[in-house]
Amino acid sequence: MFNKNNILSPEARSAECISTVNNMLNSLSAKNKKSIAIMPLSCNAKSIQAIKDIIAMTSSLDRNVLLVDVNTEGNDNFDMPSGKGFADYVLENVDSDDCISYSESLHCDVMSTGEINNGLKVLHDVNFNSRLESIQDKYDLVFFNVTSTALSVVKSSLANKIGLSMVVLDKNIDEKSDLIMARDTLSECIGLVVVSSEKKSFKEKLAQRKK
Amino acid sequence: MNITIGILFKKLIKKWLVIVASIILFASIGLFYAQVCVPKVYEASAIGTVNYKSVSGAISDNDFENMIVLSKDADFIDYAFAMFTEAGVSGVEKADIKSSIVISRYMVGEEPSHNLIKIVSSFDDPNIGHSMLENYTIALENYLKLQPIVGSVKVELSNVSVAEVSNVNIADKTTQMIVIGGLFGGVFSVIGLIIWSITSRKLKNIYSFNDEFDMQVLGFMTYPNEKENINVNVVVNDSNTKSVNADKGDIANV
Repeated sequence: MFNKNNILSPEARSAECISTVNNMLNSLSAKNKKSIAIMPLSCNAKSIQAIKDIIAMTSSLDRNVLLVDVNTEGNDNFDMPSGKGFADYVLENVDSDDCISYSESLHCDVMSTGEINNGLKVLHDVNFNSRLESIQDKYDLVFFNVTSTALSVVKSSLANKIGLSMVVLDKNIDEKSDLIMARDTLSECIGLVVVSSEKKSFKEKLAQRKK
Repeated sequence: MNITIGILFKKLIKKWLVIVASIILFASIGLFYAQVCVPKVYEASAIGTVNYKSVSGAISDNDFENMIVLSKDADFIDYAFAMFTEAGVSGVEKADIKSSIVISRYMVGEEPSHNLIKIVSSFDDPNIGHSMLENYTIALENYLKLQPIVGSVKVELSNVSVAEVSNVNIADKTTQMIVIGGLFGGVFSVIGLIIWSITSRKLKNIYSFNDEFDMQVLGFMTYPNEKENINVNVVVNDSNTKSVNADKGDIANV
């Protein structure tokens, strides 16, 4: 068995990440699903890094993983290759091979948002479900990263249309109102991944400021 | 230096400081209330009786049955006045012995010729008591109108110490009010902080997700808090190199 742990970041190899991935995979198998929408409440660096680590850890478990970036605002948080992507795949019926590439950092296949950046149009396209099913057949697990700077109805609707969803929140930044909205708008949310910052001592803060 | 002060300031803005500040504030309010607003309380049992060895002149030991209350403390005078009135003693009046500083009340029995003098003073210093007694002799002549008084009325204290009257309870009351104020401040601030934390928009309490939001937590992921300064070289037209500071995790738009 090929083990990619030696090339994962320390955070991705942490016990917290392994436990999180394990719980997520258990929930997915219990629901008998192969795809999940990962939805950070806000587009901050720690939440994005947590998503990257979760995906990297999952792919290291010898799973054939695809990350689809369903970005509603055009931000590239995952170093996605430019070119055709998910929107083109759904709206223009572009072949999936033309939209998928391999990410060295995430150790898995990735599909960018695409040249057509219109989340609402993608959401309401008649081919959405069929295209979604066809892409799932090729992989063990498909992550849909539904990212935007703020929680929106489009974001929740996309997550609901994909099926299962998982919320990533930074407890130091995200607000209760966003979590309440996510809880109320997501139909099948398997749970939360809580991202936090290490607490530093006063001496550490002082030493860092003096640098 | 400014950095240090800034960090200290941030450090100081902690919840526990709010609690301590609130306790101090309310304890101070309690102290102020005890000192200014709470009426002084005197203990009746502390009032003693002074016996006099002799009363010279025309007035013999058996000529008086009056009580003279001497005090600088107007509150004490009021208390004594009320005490004797409540006791049903008739003929309670007041008289200025010397000045506005020294106020006395004396009790005149139904028979002015009764002849036992009791003196109660709130002065701790027996010498002051003596000077007041000297003034008292004048008052006795003028106010009681016990005419004729042959010679002067001279009294001698047999035991001054028993004349000490405590207007205590002030110290007890102050301590009590400080404690009550402190307790009130502590409870008040704790309740306030609890309400603040409940109504806070930030998600601080990670243990409330299950109960408050009815959402299962799949896992917690902790990341270093440091913002590591890194240099990012941006090459423009192969000739101009610009160096900018960025933090780990920052997203650059080029």
